[in-house]
Amino acid sequence: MSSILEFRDTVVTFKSGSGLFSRLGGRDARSFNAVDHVSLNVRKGEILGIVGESGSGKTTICKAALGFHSISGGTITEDGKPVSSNDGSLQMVFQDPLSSLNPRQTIARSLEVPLRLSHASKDKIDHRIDELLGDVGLSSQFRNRYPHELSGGQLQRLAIARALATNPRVLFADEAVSKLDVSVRAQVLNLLKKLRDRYNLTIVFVTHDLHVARFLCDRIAVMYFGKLLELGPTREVYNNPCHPYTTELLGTLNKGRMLQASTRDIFNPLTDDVRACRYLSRCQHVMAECHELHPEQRSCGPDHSVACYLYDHKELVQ
Amino acid sequence: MKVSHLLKNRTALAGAVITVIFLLAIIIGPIISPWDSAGFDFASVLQSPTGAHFFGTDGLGRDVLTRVLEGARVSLMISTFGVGLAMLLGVSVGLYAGYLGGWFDDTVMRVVDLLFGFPAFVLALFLMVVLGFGVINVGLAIMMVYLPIFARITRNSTELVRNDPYIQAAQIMGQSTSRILFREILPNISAPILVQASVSIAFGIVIESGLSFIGLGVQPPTPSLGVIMAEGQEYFRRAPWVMTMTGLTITIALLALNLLGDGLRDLADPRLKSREI
Amino acid sequence: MLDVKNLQVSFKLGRKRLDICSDVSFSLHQGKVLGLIGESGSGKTVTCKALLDLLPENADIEADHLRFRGQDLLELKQSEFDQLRGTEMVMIFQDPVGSFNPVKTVGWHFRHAGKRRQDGFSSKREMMKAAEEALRQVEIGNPMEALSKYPHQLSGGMLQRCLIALTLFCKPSLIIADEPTTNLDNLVERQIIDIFDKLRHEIDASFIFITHDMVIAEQISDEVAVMYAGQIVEHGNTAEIMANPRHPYTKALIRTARELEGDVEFLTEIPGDVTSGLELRDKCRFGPRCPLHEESCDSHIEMREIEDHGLVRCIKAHISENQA
Repeated sequence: MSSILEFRDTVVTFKSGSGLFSRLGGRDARSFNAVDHVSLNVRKGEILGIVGESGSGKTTICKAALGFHSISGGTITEDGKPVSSNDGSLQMVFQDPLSSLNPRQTIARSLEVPLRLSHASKDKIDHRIDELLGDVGLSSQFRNRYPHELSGGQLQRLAIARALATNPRVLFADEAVSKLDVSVRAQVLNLLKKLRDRYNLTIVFVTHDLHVARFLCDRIAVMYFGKLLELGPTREVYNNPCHPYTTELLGTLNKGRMLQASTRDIFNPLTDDVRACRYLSRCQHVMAECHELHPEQRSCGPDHSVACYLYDHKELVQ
Repeated sequence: MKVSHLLKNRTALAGAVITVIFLLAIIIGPIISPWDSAGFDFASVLQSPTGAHFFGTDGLGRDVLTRVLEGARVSLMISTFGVGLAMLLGVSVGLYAGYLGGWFDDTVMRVVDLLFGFPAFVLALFLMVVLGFGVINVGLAIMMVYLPIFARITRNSTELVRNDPYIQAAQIMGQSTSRILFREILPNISAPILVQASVSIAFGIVIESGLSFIGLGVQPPTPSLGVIMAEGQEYFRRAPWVMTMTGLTITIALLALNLLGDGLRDLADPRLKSREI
Repeated sequence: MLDVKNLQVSFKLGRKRLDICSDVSFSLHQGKVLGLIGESGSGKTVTCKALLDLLPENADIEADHLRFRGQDLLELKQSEFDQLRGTEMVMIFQDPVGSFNPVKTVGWHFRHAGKRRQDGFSSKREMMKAAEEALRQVEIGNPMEALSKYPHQLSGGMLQRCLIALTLFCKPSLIIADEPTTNLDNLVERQIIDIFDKLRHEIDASFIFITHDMVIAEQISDEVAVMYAGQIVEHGNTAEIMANPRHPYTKALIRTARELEGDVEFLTEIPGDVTSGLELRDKCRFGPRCPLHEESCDSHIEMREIEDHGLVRCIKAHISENQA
């Protein structure tokens, strides 16, 4: 299977404390890597799920591919060439459908804008608008409505239609169903699957919802504070999680009792050691080497890799 | 959305009504008036208000009402001209500054801060000394006074919305920056700009009147509210109605435009959207 | 403990009147947990806010009675009601950050709440000890430190725990939690749910737990009430409802949850959305989306008692699972 999008050792750096007071204090604005040396291949025609909690970098890495954040290290390439952000081959669907649409534009207008950039004739554009609406299951009667007149599910479908208007090769969906009602999620999830089948679209689906990821995605990438911890086929990862963090995450699906928490629980990107393994403070299996350096990706199953010293004896990936 | 809500909000309605009446008066008034605003009539100099002359006459026998209406028209035109230019330039600069950020934003905002440091009238005064007197120059001075405020409010509003998902979506679509600024962002931040415009025009009239009053603005015989007030000041003891009526006119203009501005601000309140349902 | 009969809530907007909830009736016994399940537009939050008089000025609340520990809340004087609210009856909201004053420490909030407690404290030290106790109840390992922190120094999960501790500190009889975990990450969400699970067995307050997640409701509630478009459509014992849902909407919700846990190619969709039912009166509000809809559904549907099951607002409730 060929890669359509490749992240090679990608790094995205954020500065924190860039406000007035910290500059006055004379300190250099502290920076941290929201995406920290991540290497990942997105395969043509697959639905890749990126799961993680807040601060994992899962949204940042997508925005970096789309050009919203600049990369401070590594590369992101599409078919070997560096990604160009504005030619429409990469598209995105956002979490909140209402704010992702211009409130002052009608539905038809929202769809017209990307189509017009391809310099097609007015008739062709009109026809394509109807086609796109049909693809996502919205009737033409919505053409002259405004976003606030539509429901969440309809809006998200519209956002998908708009993303499809530029004939993208890769569609990024950032928590695309998280803000939708449960009874409506099925519509959008099914739609994404159908569109992938019909257009051989590649989808990168960012979510924190493990059930949704399992239903929709072919492969899962688990991220934690900027690092890629595990990558593999969905079934494989869910049935045989390799990384302790993945096991902990999947444990939330069961109804067991969890550990105590303290105020010092989570990895703090500004103060904790960024060279050591990210998961150090919560891991049950800490070894000496975990304090030294964050582990590299090693194979731990068919097409399944993990960044953990527990698998030190296995071969390196890449 | 706009018109039906305008009718329900009393402040906006009052402001709109008074403004419309005012506009009609100053446009139609001088036309239908039997008096010529420049017509000297030494026989009826400094007459107090009568049936023939509602506002009385001034030192040269001219009908004060006609003259005031014309003067108001001139003042309003100058102020609108100045504020209009300020809006054009200020909004454009503000959009780019808010969107692009970085050194451009910093530079623009420092210049704006500098201009804000001067009290409006002092700045206008300074500009008139530099530019010279006359109608156009007063307009330009008013433009300079209000340019920073349009730049700032536009820039702040732009900064607030520039990271909204629909703007990001527009960027992904490949839209050019200018298109995004003027077609996507501007329509959504127009409300505070329009409010500011109505308030600025109101005070622009005050600035113009002030400058003309001290002789550094519009030059007589061209009537403007400031010019007429200056003339009226000379014979204030004998014929107070000239200055009084002119002052009253300025007050009404200010009131109308401010009410309109307040009303527009209420209407632009985003919480209104949730009241709609 | 709580007995609500025929609650109707509507909002006045200019000349228009928007009905949000109608015909809402339920009772809650001491120490029990009611899971109130619904999506947007269901009226679940408005119902609870109505109980605590937290609705805006233009809200119109009517009911046969809203009895809390024997007293009808609607008949109380404002001052008497204010005594109850925040002490006997408390509510936890979705966003923990907004519930704390950002310029005050967590400890300040406890001291502030401590002043209102019915059984007073004899000294400040006693109050702080009780605060620490409450924080320990929500599994915070270092309560002293937590008390000294400002809200922005704590994560969302920690803040939510502090908020829960704060409510426990007031020793209420009724705790209403409105989707307290929706904004939180997975691991933290699980911890908070487990805390609620522990608390319901440890203290004798009654809980109303609002959520859209059937699975969470299944774990921590004794009874569930499913709401749709402003009405309760099914109400009964949790285990029974989850195993044998009778209302088509409940069935659909559970089915989606099970499908996501299982292995399917495509999910079963529920066509349309809740807006199709909001304006309907004297008709089944789920009708436009219901696979079993027929003409007789277009009439006023009452809650019916089904033996060994509970109450269901559906004339087809007798149809069992595999026939739907």
